[in-house]
Amino acid sequence: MNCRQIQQWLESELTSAGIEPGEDIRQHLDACPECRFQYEGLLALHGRLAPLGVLTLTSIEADQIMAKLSAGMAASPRGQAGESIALTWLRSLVRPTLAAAALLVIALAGSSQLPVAPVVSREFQDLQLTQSPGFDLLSFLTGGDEDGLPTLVDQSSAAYITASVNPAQAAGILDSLSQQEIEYLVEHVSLEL
Amino acid sequence: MMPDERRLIERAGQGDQAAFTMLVRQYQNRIFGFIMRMTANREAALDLTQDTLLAAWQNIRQFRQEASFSTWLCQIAVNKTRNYLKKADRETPLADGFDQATASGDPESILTEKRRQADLLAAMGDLPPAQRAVFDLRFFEHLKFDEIACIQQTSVSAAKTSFAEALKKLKRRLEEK
Repeated sequence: MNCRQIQQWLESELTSAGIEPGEDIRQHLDACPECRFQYEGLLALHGRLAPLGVLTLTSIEADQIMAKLSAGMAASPRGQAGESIALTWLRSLVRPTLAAAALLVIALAGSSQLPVAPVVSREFQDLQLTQSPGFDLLSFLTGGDEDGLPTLVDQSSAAYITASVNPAQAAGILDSLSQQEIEYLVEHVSLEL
Repeated sequence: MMPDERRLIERAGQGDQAAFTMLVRQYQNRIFGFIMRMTANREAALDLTQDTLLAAWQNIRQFRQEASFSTWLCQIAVNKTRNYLKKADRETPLADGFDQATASGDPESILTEKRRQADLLAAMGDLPPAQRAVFDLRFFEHLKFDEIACIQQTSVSAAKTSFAEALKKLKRRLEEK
């Protein structure tokens, strides 16, 4: 064990005050005052932050949340016949997003200007895409959403996409893509639903 | 993932509200704790916990069981919290979230505890929200860095760097006290 390995252990592995260092780490800590100082500092931090690790609901609050959840579930029942609102919403929006991403990839692939190698999610292929005219592409891509679903792409990718295409016009582009281009999108474009 | 949990998830996906309630009851404290540390606002944390659980119900059929259910819930909670902080420019927590649930003892010690907790929440609140979330998910929730990277939509190395920076800042901040 050297100091660098100890440093990595301290910063990434020691996330519980109860963790006992292994024998090799212990030997290094005994012999190295600097690493021991850092180790003890981190243990102290655990001790200081411990009160935040036990923030809990009162039983009344827990019951209130469950009661409101029950009411919410009753108002938005889920079943085999139904389809989630979020999925319906995504179905309506994903096509222009993909079209925009497709335009970006096609436009930039030839000139090798694609800044990142974005990713497409597995769900892409499950969606039956439908067109939805007019929406705020940038917000959709980067802002998350009211249902707490993840954002689709990072800021820089979204900026490229929105700067490169008009989403209203982009909606029809997907139809013209070849299977090969679709596969390229699936492999490279960021779209994590 | 425990077999029982997998079965509950399947039943919840088929619309079984009781199964979903059983499923999330064991996670509600954990989700609340995370949101509480992110917002330092008890009222907001209560609302956001409820919103998170309801969103999980509404989207349970999209859960693929490739990640753990708790990680998926954390992802929803992170996004809910991020939207909350973003909407009203509440990046600096109000530190008014004293945990009455664990308060005990005489009024003076309760007050001391209240101040200590507020100081800690304020120290957490000094971290940028994304860094705060990475730190919390690792330090308190003990998620793996690849899970955190997935939730935060960043790379594993960026998550590790973010965690290390947060550690340094918090140590410095708390040593000043």
